[in-house]
Amino acid sequence: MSETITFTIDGKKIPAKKGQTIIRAAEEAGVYIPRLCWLKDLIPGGACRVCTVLVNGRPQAACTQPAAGGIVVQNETEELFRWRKNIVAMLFVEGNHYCMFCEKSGNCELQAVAYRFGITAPKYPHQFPQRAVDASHPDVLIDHNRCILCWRCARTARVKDGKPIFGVVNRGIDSQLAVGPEQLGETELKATDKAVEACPVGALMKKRVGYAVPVGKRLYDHEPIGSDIEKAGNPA
Amino acid sequence: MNLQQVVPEAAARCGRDPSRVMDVVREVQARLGRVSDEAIDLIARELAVPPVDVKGVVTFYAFLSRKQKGRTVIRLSECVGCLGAEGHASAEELQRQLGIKFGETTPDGAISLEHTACIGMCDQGPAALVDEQPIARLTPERVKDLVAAVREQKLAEAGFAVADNVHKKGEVVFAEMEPGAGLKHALALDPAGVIGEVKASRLRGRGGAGFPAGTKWEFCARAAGERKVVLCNADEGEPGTFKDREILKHVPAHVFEGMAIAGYAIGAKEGILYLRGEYAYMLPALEKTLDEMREKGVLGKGLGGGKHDFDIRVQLGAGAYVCGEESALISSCEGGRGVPKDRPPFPVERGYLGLPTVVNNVETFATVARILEKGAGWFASFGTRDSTGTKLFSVSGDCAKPGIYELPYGLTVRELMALVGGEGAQAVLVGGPSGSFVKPEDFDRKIGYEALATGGSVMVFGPRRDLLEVVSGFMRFFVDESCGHCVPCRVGNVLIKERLDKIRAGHGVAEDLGYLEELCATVKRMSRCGLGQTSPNPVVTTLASFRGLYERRLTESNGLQPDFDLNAALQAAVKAQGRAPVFHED
Ligand SMILES: Cc1cc2nc3c(=O)[nH]c(=O)nc-3n(C[C@H](O)[C@H](O)[C@H](O)COP(=O)(O)O)c2cc1C
Ligand code: FES
Repeated sequence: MSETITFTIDGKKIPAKKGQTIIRAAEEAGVYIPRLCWLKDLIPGGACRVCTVLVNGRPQAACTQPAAGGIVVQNETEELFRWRKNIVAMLFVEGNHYCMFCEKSGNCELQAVAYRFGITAPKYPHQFPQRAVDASHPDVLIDHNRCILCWRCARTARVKDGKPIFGVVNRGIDSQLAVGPEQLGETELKATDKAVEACPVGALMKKRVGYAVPVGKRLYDHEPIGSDIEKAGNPA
Repeated sequence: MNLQQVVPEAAARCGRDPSRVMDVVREVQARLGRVSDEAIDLIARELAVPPVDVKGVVTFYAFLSRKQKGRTVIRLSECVGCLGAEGHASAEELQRQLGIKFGETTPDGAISLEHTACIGMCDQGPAALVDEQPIARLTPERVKDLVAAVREQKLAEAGFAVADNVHKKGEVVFAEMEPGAGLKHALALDPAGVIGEVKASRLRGRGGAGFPAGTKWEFCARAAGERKVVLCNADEGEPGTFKDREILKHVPAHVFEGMAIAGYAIGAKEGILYLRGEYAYMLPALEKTLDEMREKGVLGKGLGGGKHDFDIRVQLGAGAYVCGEESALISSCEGGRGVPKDRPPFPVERGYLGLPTVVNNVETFATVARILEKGAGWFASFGTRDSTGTKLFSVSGDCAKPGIYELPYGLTVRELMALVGGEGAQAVLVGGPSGSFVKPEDFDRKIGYEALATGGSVMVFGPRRDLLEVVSGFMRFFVDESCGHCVPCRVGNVLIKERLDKIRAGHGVAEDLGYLEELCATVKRMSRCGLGQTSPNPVVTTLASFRGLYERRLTESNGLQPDFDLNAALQAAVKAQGRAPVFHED
């Protein structure tokens, strides 16, 4: 029943099923659109805005915008590259990110996107927020310092684990990931829950396995994030 | 009164409907002075929603709190419009009289003192809310009377009534109208005919974005679904806007009638008026109007001899500017955090509770009632081709006659200034902080969608104002009011304000202007909703029209970023040690 349409990204013809989001269609066609808060099979969050593309000249989040026949999408423009880079740079100063001793280093999507963009040093003044660590759970911890508020854990817990235990409190720059009731240890979260795997950074992590894979053999140690998508779509 | 009693009562009052979390937490806050963690758990259980979601709601809105508040809460508007010299003096006096600082509660638990964003009393600031009651034109003298009256619990009798300040009533919104006249004409047409009439009037939404009302209704009428909703946006939170306040005070029936007409046109039986928490004091009068209209047969079942059923409920907000954004308005009506939604789908397809929903501004609905009464042609004879009709302007700031003016579109800034006694202004802000600062050389520009678009806010800044302080105040507003969902708006606005304040403090260098422009562009282009897409405008439009103000505050760059004055920062140490630092140069 699904009707097929075509549109272009940076001039390349992309087939898509009607209603499919731009990011999905692009991915299937081997075009990587950078993203942080998007996760396959999850309702898109539209939160990080790193996936912003120009659709007929207007900025739209590729993870929420449905593809439509004949639209002209730009993914790699000089301006978009700058603006995306600026957003990633904002994330680095909003929280407290210490890549050099973070267990997630090498497997971290924030770090990997930053490297792909060529970010090597902070661009904006650090905000140094006071944030807590919740180690009350026997097997999982939350380090709010490293949370980028992508809500991937919250959405995954609800949709895939059937546990509405994560949410958001406060607003604006004070927004924070929260758990209900009060602490992670009081929730029914299990270390095997999908939510734990959903974290792109080092905010929600399993205890005692941080160095199981040595540095040098981690996900993004050798090739930039997105390379898998680009290779799959463009076999040599 | 205890929790075990209050929560179940509040929950029962709204049928334990999980989409009415807002009403329950509002009631708990009002009766107990806070929504404690225990209350949050209880509410979650009563309404069968996750506790973390209730916590999310309680921590989102400015008027809700987990910590105990005093029996009375005094909230002083810290809006740019209100915080002139009188405002600062009144703020000082409030602290002195109460013996506490902002953010604190008196030791006897009687009174809490807080700051709040614009409360829509811009024409008569400095202003405050005492619980729900607005208090205007504060002076240090009046603060003394106010605190005394609050202490004696005699505020109602103390004569603190707010003024109307409607200086010019026009033909469309404020003129007399026989109750039901517009609806009667509408019901004589078929729904498509009503939409045709609104389209023919070329009416554009009065809430700021200016989308053609008839077209929006047509989309919604076409959307699939039996049940549809008419939502009236009375969130009026843009600093400098207070027109909806006067419409709801003087002609609320026109608004409700316009909603009933929209309901007929799109096939909706339900209407909701979303009233900002700051306007809660108007609720009794609005409920009374609704009752009267039901009695007169302008609302209720079987309107126009059985052609239409329509009724309206009022939903109260709890202090969050972003809820004026239509999809956030819907989130809030659904009882959640006032976070905007992704579009598509648009509200006309899937809005309130997933139902096709038309969202329009208060003034838009009032205008619709008149258009159906008098006809599209009559309406379109006012104003200009692209901006038909009259518009309500909320004028505040440094002018002789601040207040409401209903005027045809198409007049120039200069003409408006002559009318309100605002000649000699160094800048006029048209469209609120998300609009643009207009410089005197541009005062011949017309107000309307062709040139200067506005939801009606016009703020006049006289020659003695420090414009960059004003701009910084607006950036603080956007920082406070960002919902926090998307990165550019959440973080970007903080960084913009930080750099702006650095320049204001005299530590800026030439490169900072480019840095600001790049940041502003990123926030505008990458943000998820209209808040972030316009929040940098105070900086963007002053950098364009008043660049000299910035340049005059810059210092020479020595290649380093002078975030602070090193010598000044060292003075405390110099004093303690009794010796000055020695600087080595090579
Ligand atoms: C941050 C933000 C705040 C808004 N506040 C209001 C408001 O208080 N009242 C209003 O009518 N529209 C407001 N709007 C515009 C609404 O999103 C929407 O366009 C409007 O309610 C539609 O009604 P209209 O077409 O009749 O103007 C706001 C928009 C944004 C982005
Ligand atoms: S991936 Fe699209 S907004 Fe985050």
